[in-house]
Amino acid sequence: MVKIDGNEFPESLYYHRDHVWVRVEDGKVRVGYNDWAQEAAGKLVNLNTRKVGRPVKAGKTLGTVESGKWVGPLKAPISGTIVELNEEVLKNPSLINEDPYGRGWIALFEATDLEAELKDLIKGSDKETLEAWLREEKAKHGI
Amino acid sequence: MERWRLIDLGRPEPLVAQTFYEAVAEAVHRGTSPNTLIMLQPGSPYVCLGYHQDLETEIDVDLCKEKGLPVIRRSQGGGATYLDGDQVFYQIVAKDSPVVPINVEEMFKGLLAVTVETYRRLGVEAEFKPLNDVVVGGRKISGNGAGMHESASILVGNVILDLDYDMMAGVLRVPDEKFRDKMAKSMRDWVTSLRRELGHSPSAENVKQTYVAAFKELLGVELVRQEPTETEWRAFHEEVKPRHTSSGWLYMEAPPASLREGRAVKIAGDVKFVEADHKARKLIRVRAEMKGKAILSIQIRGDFFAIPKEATSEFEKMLRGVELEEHSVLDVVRRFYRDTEVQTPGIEPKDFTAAIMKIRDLI
Repeated sequence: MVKIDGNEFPESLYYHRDHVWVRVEDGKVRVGYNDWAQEAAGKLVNLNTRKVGRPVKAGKTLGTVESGKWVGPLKAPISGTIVELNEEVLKNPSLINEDPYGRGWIALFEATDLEAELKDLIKGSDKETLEAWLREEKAKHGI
Repeated sequence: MERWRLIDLGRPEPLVAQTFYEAVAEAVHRGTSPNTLIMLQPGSPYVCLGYHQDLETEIDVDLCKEKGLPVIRRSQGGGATYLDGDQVFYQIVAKDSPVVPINVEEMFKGLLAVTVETYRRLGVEAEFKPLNDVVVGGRKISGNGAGMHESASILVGNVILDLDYDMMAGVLRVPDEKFRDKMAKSMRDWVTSLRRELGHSPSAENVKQTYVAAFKELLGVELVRQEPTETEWRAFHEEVKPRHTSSGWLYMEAPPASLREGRAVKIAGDVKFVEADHKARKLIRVRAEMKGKAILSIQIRGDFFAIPKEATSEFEKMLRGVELEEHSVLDVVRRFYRDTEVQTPGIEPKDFTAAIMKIRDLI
């Protein structure tokens, strides 16, 4: 487990620069919101996503999130088709705040170009790149 | 000194009042327009729905039709509100400006200082209350929301001259009229206006000028009065307006979280008015005014029997001030059974606890 300024970034995951994590599972990928992003957003009150069966391209909108502070986009970290959505999280998005890498997962994808696209993500084991990226993000968001 | 544009839109129709700043945000993002402060007063009343809310769950659509009130879904979050000409709106759209921090907490703090100062200059002792409220004596007196359009930051809010509490409560869909009465009372308890604080309401023109002067002085920004550009009007007519008037947008499929069982209406700050039903062997209906996780007041109703029947009002008193934690609620429920020696055929202590805890999922 990599811990950066109090936020957790499990080593086994990949991280998209728009704050969505990726876990490769048996050819499919599970995605969710990372620990720093959930904390910065505050308690999440709404989560809306594209529907199961819909194709989504990496970097394009997978859905929207709303916290007490604002509404923001949720970006797809890899291209593919949504095969499953976490109904529990859709009903109760604050699960993302409670357990971002576990019960707070958002969607399961059938990826179309996984190997190539994984190269664009930050590996959880690459602590240096993770830290540099997070520093940039914090500066960008004035945190 | 930074130089910004000031647009006074006067008293425009509701759609312009609520969405024109999106066209400005696009222009600011592209760099074709400077950072901008828009001031306006809605030309006629309308109802505004939060981005993620479900239209028919939240709003009494028939009543709005009957009263000729347009319903507009905003691009920002939060709850449904009734808006009219007794409010002055400020809409701030900026990119790369030191007076508009990217960090949302900082942005609210910095920009709402202007709102606070405006109220003070008008004679009301307003204060900033994080995250995004301006309050007077604990009551909310300004509503504010923030958002982002690509690289442009947006903050929109209002100065409230006067409030029509009955309309505010009237346009919302509620389980029944009792709920509506209680909710309207809660609004009176927690939301206020210049008229209520001062005994009269200053003119909208006076409020606009006061706000603009405070904006310049507090933020150190020079404001140059200009009209919207042709590009902005074109973006409004060709993109913003068609999107907002499409039924796909208005009836947008709401996320499941906004469709939770029961009903919750945000009143002000962390105060909410909530109703939850719990079906045990009998129905238990709980209606509560909540402040954060604390119960301010609560009603327990349903088709169960309590003997003696006066016991439920005792129960309601015991629950006041209790935090919604399973063990605290269970403690009170147990004490209720012990102290009143109440009998509730078919209903067990755990049913009351479950009914009350349902509130937690709604707030």
